[in-house]
Amino acid sequence: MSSTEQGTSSAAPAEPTTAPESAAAPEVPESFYYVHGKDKVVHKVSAGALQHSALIHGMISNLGYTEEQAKANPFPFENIDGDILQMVVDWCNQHKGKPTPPEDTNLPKQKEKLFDLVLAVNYLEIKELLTYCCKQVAMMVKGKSPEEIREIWMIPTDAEDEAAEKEAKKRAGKEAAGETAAAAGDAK
Amino acid sequence: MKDGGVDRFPLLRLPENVKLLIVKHMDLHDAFKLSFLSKRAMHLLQQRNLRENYVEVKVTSSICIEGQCWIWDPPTCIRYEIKFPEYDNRKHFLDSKNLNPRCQIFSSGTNYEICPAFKIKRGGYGFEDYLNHCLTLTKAQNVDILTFQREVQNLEEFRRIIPKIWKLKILDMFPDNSIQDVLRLFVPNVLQIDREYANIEHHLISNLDRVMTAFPWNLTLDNLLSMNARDIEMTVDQFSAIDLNRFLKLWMKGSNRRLKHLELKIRNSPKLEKGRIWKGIKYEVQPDKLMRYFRYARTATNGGFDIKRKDGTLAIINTDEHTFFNIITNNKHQILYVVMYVALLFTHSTLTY
Repeated sequence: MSSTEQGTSSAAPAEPTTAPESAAAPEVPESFYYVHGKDKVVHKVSAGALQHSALIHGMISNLGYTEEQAKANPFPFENIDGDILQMVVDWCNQHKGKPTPPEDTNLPKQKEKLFDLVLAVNYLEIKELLTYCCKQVAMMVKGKSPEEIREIWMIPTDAEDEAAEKEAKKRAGKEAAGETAAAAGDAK
Repeated sequence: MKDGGVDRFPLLRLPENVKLLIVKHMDLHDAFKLSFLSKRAMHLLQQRNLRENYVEVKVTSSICIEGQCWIWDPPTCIRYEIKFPEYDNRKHFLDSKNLNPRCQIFSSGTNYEICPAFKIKRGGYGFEDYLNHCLTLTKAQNVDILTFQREVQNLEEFRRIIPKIWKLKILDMFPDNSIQDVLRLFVPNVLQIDREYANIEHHLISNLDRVMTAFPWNLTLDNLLSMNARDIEMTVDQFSAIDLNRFLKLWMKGSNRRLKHLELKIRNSPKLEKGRIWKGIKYEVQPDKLMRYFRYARTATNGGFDIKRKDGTLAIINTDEHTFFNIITNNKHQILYVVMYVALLFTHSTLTY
């Protein structure tokens, strides 16, 4: 549904190959925006599809970009992997202007992908997709024993948490000491 | 994120709002299990606003923490039992750490479900920690029910761990030599004693909300008059019609002012004679179709005999061939301002054991 092209930069986005489908031919021409992730692949997305994302919707609502300006200024999401952004864009396009069903079975099954997707969706503030993802994450541990839950969700023990906290404090202390020493050296 | 071929999901690295949303979508019994994994996991669960129905500690051949908690959204309730098999093997059980109790969860929401039992392995956790965990999880202040069937090792220490209870249950197998210590150390609102105890009257004069006894106690009129509980349910050996008559007369003059409900199951008594019970008492008979509901006793009563105390409190007495007595009192002053009923119930039944 979305169009993508590899290897372009945010300053000079590539011309998308296809236009996104719309459910019915709109009477008023639909406006499009462009987004790219870490991999710089630009995705052309309709304003209707982007309405799912509270973050992007808020960004574009007052911009009033022309088609040319939108093409020239794609929204950069450097913290989101390209394939994850592709998934998000696909989902937004699929659910454009449609009521969201109670379940979504098209979410990634690999936990690593799902983790990145959850982070991206939370960042982009796509409420319905976030709910689906959270339900899927909750289902991972359904009927499991506490130790299995610990394993699946990588939950450290209290002792491990305390050790990690101590380590972080030590590191922070060292860094602070290093900065003080550097500042003293500069002053000399 | 893959480690040794196992696909994992680092839940705690997610932003706080997402973690909470995930926990909200978990089944309550899974969430309960999660709470035992670490302090951080427990912190997540605490924000789900679990509510408790009760937390009970049972001392039988082992020690068990039992409880029921629920959430509104979606409406779900779980009952859990955490049993400590180590109790029998360890002399200093209450001081022991690294206990691995066995937990069973029964959940009811859209479906009733018995989840498979599992072991909890929480490093450094002893009995007190597990109990506090259950209380903290549901924001409960105290243990609601403490049940003794067997003697507990180190009762003083047990009292320190459980300083306040609402109900104390002493079951029939509890040893005689410890009952006094238990009653001295634990002061409940509700006392239930299912075994014989000769000195019980010393403990019944305190301001209990409710007293329940199941052994045939030789109750005297003086005992009954000195009791200060609001609600009394007792199995007694004998209680004559003459004593009943005296009690009613004294109640009408103002004794047992706190009493709202009294039920006596009399085991070895000759048939109560109506004439003796009502001798010298002014009463009014109500028609059977007259039904009155009493909030305190959560019961409705039909018809009955009405008697009045000097302060205006009305007692309604139902009788069924002298085997069932039901007296319900109602303060007329209270009726004027709040619709509140108090109840006083007598039951005489010729029980055979």
